[in-house]
Amino acid sequence: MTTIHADTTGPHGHDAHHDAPYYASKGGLFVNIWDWMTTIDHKKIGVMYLFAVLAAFALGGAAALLVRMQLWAPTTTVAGATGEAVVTGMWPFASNLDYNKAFTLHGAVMVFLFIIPSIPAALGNFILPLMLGAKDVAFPRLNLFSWYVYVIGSLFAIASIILGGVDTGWTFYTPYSTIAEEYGRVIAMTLAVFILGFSSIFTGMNFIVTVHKLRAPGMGWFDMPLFVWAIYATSIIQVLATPVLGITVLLLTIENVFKIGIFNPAYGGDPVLYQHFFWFYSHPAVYIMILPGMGIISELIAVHARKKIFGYKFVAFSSLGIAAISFIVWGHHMFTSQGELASAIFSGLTFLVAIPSAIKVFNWTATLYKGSIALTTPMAYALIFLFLFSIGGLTGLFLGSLSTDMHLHDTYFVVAHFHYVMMGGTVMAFLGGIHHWWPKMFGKMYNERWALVGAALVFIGFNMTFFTQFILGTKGMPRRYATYVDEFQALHQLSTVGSWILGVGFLIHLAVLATSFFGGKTAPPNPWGGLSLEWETASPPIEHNFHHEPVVRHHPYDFDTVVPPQTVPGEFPVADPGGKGH
Amino acid sequence: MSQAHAEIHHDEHEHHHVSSMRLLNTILAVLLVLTVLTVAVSRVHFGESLNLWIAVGIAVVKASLVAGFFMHLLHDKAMNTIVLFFCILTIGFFLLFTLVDMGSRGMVDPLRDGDIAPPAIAAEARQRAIAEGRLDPNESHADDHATPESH
Amino acid sequence: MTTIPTSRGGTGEPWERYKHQPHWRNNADEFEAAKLGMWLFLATELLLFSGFFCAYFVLRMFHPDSFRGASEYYLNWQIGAVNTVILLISSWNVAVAVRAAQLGRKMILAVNLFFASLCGVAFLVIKLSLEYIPKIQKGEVPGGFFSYAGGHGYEPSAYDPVFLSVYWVSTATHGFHVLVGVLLLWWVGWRALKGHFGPKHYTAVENVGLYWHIVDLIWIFLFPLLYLVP
Repeated sequence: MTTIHADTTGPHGHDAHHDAPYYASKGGLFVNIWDWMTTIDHKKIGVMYLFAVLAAFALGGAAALLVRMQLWAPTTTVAGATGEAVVTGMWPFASNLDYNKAFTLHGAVMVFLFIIPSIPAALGNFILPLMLGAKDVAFPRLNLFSWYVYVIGSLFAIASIILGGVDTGWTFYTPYSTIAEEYGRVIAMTLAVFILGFSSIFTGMNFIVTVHKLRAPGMGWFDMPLFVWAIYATSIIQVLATPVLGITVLLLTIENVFKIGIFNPAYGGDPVLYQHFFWFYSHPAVYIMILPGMGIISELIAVHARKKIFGYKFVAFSSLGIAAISFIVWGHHMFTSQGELASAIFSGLTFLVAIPSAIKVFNWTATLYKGSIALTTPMAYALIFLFLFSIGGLTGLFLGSLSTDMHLHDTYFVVAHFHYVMMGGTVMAFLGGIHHWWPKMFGKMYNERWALVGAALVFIGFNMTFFTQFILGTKGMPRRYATYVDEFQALHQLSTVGSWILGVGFLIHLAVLATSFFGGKTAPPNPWGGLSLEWETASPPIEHNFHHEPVVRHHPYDFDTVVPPQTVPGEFPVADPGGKGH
Repeated sequence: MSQAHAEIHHDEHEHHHVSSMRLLNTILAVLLVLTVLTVAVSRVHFGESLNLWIAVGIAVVKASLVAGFFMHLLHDKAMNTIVLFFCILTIGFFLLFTLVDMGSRGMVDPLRDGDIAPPAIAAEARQRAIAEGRLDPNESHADDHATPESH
Repeated sequence: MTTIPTSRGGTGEPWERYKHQPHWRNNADEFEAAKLGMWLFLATELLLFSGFFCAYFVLRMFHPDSFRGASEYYLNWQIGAVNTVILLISSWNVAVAVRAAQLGRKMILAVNLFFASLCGVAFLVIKLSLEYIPKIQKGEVPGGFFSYAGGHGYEPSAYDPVFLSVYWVSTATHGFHVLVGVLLLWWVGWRALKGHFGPKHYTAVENVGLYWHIVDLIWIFLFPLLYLVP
């Protein structure tokens, strides 16, 4: 039980280039560019996705900082020379319309270009086949195609911004999106979402088939790391929900071009029907965003606390449970627009989500109990996740109850809630995951101390930015306005200062990772003592992932009985090396 | 190690199910009969919703035959059927909850049962045609509609 | 209920030499994976079309009389029925083609694939020449561009443009899928003639066949809902 087949034996009778890292240079600059642009290696595609989504994150983040700047002070409306209303105090935006365009840009870019592809397409592409012991994903060419589809979709979104932007909000509600004066931009943006949906579907299909057909010999369903379970559940949602978004934005596009009347009341359509269509995708999409983060947290907590995960099957099945429930709760986004019977049903169903989510949080907490917690950056982010996600999840219960939501609907309370889940959950898990797998992906260690400083600033800045917004929301501050009553100014300014601290935290992370990339210490194959298969290959992995097809002989979380592969003896003490206690 | 490898490379020669010609012909015949049936039934008036249910029911039977035999789900790996099942379940949730909401407006609070004014497109098109003399408001003649079914 | 021999051998056609991509363990795994991937894609197709059905049911619930009158007046059920029969026969062709591939009968395979594609072309020709083009000429187009003034004692109701919206977007999207299917059938038909498919390797025939069946399957629902509203 305790002997592990580690992939350290090296190539037997292979050429030397089989030993080279996956990103080894193939020739001159153009040869290398061509090699990356046409690669079907899941690792390179994962890295390409990583850079693409980080660029999107920077764009969306810049828009967010500008929005927060505008909210530093309320605007005032005064009578102009001829008695017309003149708005003063708009800065950095020139008008309310520009402000609307900026928050739409922030929302659309963060949702469709960053969060949805972030963990599955970037980290998942790189890590999932390695975790399964596979040579590649099931359909490598489709995988590359999905990256190009993502880029094309992003170009449409950017075209929409360059043409002047969209002010509908990221939800493109009709009739805002069908009476917009500039149809062209709305069409470009909705087409972008349509195209990006395909990218998401292709990634999901690829992962489902990979998990079914390419597991290493000896790896049963319950021997898979929990990250794989989470990505699997995510992929199910991607495949089953994204097509409905596709038809929604396609109909919206056709509606703008050919004036058909399905959503537009001017032509006999029903705008609330649009909301059903949209949220049928976009609520499950919330779990496309958070489930991969939960998968990462399962890995981080188990590995960095050196503890067998508590309740493996419960954590695994709760991912599938969340995926299933996600399809029957979308109406809680529409409590003020739909009928009261549906509202009551959806409100009741919404509370079901709390069960699998709570199972996960309790199991993670129980895993930490009496573990040997190493306060590395990944572990710090796992703890931050637990704290922030709990707040985000529990405030979700307020919003899920019909009567409270009537008062909190469309206030900053909602904004704070979903930022606590999306950013406090997914982005924190993403950052933790990047630091956890960074040595594996690029073969370099990062500066732990500075990375922890960055994590601390992100934590402080995040709470300053968004906890204030809970208070603002309960006091009645509506979302999506460029101005507010004077009483709210102190809280808004606190929130804006928080956004700066948050920005500084991210810049520190960027500097730490860039320093590591260009001059970091060489990473050992298994710096954290992990037991899943990605730690059995070199850091960075060789082109074909493993010299020999790995054979699974232990559970990925048997930290108390198994000596981690490719580590110095005694570096990661094993509680019960003989396995006699079991 | 060698044992594990022996297990992996087991079955190169998968036995695929081959449908007999008689089966395929029978399925096609049944599908054509059901097409005739669905047209025939629609000519009989059972009432708005019953007619709809019958039409959808026949379509479901036809679709099941196509999926089960032409797409040979019946003789395939169970996973493919599971994919289709969850797809249909998802569509079911989508249609069910949307229809429940859209069909129950104003049941408790009449304020929520607001009417959207009907679009004026058709009426405007008609007025335009009458104003331009293309249409006689009392009886039409200028129209070239070749097959005014059931009129 | 026959099972195919594992190898017919001797002809030296390309399908006999087929070797799976390097990340698979054997051809059978690759075939099953491709088929599972195809089924997942077909699921997304069904879900895409479910949007039309949802819009159809909701809008029909709101405007039952308009939908009944508009379906009867603007659509000719005979055209729809002929197209249904055409698609059903082409589905049968594709099923026979898959069987021929499994049995290694190259000519039967190619002929059936081409006949199925001809059915697809016939479907599109009927759709365009007897429905779409006359409708555009008469102004029976959806939503804001609707300009049909009525005639033969028929006065368009306020919601006729809504019915036509559903009709146009759903049949046009379906027609686009038929067009893609025809191109795919030509592609596999051409490869079949070159001997790419046989009992040991016919992944593309199987998957294109599945796609063609799903196109047929969607039409099976569209036909009664659009053309046969009593």
